Amino acid sequence: MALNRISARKTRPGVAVSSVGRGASLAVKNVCVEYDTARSGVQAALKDINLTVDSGEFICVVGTSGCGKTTLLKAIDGLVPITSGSIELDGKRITKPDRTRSVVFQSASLLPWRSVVDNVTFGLEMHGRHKSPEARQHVLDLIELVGLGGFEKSFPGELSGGMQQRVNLARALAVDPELLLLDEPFAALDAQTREIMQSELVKIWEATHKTALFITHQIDEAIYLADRVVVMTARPGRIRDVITVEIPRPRPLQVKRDPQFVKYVDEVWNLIEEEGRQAARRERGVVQG
Amino acid sequence: MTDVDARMGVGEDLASSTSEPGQKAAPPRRRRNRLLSRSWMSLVGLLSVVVFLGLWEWAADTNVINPLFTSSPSRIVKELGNLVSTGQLWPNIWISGQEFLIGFGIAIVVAIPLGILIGWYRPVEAVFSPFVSFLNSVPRIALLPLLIIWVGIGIQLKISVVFLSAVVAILINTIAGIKALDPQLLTMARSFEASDFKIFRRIALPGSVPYILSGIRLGLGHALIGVVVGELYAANSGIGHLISVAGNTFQTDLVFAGVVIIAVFGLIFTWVLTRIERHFQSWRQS
Repeated sequence: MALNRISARKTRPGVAVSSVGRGASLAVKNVCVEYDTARSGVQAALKDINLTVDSGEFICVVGTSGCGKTTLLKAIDGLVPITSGSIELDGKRITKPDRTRSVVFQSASLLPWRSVVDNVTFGLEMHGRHKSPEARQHVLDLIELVGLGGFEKSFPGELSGGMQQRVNLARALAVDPELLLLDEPFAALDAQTREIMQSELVKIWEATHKTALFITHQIDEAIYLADRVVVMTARPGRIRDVITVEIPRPRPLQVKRDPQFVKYVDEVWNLIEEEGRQAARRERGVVQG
Repeated sequence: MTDVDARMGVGEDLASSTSEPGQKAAPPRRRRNRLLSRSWMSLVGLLSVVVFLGLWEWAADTNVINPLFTSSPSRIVKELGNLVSTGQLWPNIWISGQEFLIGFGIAIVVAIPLGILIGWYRPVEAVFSPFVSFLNSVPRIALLPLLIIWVGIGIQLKISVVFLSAVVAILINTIAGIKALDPQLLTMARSFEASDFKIFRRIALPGSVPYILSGIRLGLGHALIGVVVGELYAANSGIGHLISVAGNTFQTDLVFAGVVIIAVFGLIFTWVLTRIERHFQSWRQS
């Protein structure tokens, strides 16, 4: 599958958050993931996935639910073992979670008994590098960056859903990963909050130079955020197509009403709709057969 | 209790802020009302106790009821004074306290790690769960004769009874606490390369603290029963023994004095537990 590459972007404006490593490049080669289920035997969740992501690129993966996009993200993090193929980050093979990647989870997954600061510090703490004054300052800077200044001492139970996801994001950024993996982080938010979070995420991404892989089922979200959109099909999960979004950055939220933007949405929608209908036909066939 | 009060308070605030937005003087008065109602509750409680004790005293003094059977508050106080002056009080409390603290302490130290292991590892659960269910369904008191054969009637007997009484409640609650952990949190921790030990320490343990504490609270009641029943059954000292001897020799006042001592015991430990719970749950309050 020929993958489009995007030309190097202009340098992004520097922000007062120390980010040592630039984003890493990711290479997913012929990856298959199979589950051994009790009911229906071995099921392929992912089949022949090939994908390369350039350093500093923002990739979105869209697809209907159950198409294996979260499995792909977990495999890249190392949480799910792959059956065959290889996943490499800057040429180094991935087998288990390590500090080069961190995940922003779909549910905020915060420890309710820890304050915002202590939740953001969690990843650093697991790596045993949370005690230095620099680390502490880094955490405070990130809390400021995600717009939670003043809430450092608050507990998750006191925060709104959007604010909890900001903590979730700051926690993932705190370990200074080379690849940021985001698993539908805004899916549970209301429409307005989601839009605001989208535009802020782009700003944060531009400030930190991370490579980002963002899973979503929302087409407009994918196109707004991504340099390239990966469209997946279900059962088994495969890559249907990869679309390069040539909308210049910075992208104000109004860009979503732009005819060019709408054209991209239609393009992705058609791919997904076709896939949805095919899947429905397949299922009918299975039922009849 | 405090949770309910706090929630009621919030409800009041909401209700009045929507219905009468213009009234600036309302908040302080409302707060005073709430405080008043709270102290009013304890005042009524105190009063009802005083009235009850007064009635009891009066009925015993006027021979409406026979104090030989029912004793009376003043007789119980006198008896407690007697116990102090004859030097019987402290040795007996010391013995019962030792039995209770050692047995309960061992129960906590054993039940929490074991509960975490059982809740965490399926094979460990498979090995232990039949025994946990067995112990849970057998009244521990029924094992007393066996325990006497094994360890005699000394302090070890009561320690064993207290231990057996308390351990099951703490164990079962700890297991439940571990099983109720949010799997999302565990995935999150694994993604940050957390070792099993760090997951125990940073997620499993704090996450199951509410369960463990309510297990300890339940266990506390069971342990107190264990002390008293153990001493009633076979002992030569201790508060339970004191009660038993007093009962056999028809000293109603002394029986009541013993009951009062045990009640004070229980109240003190419950108070300490409440403080500990409040400490661990401070993030829930606001």
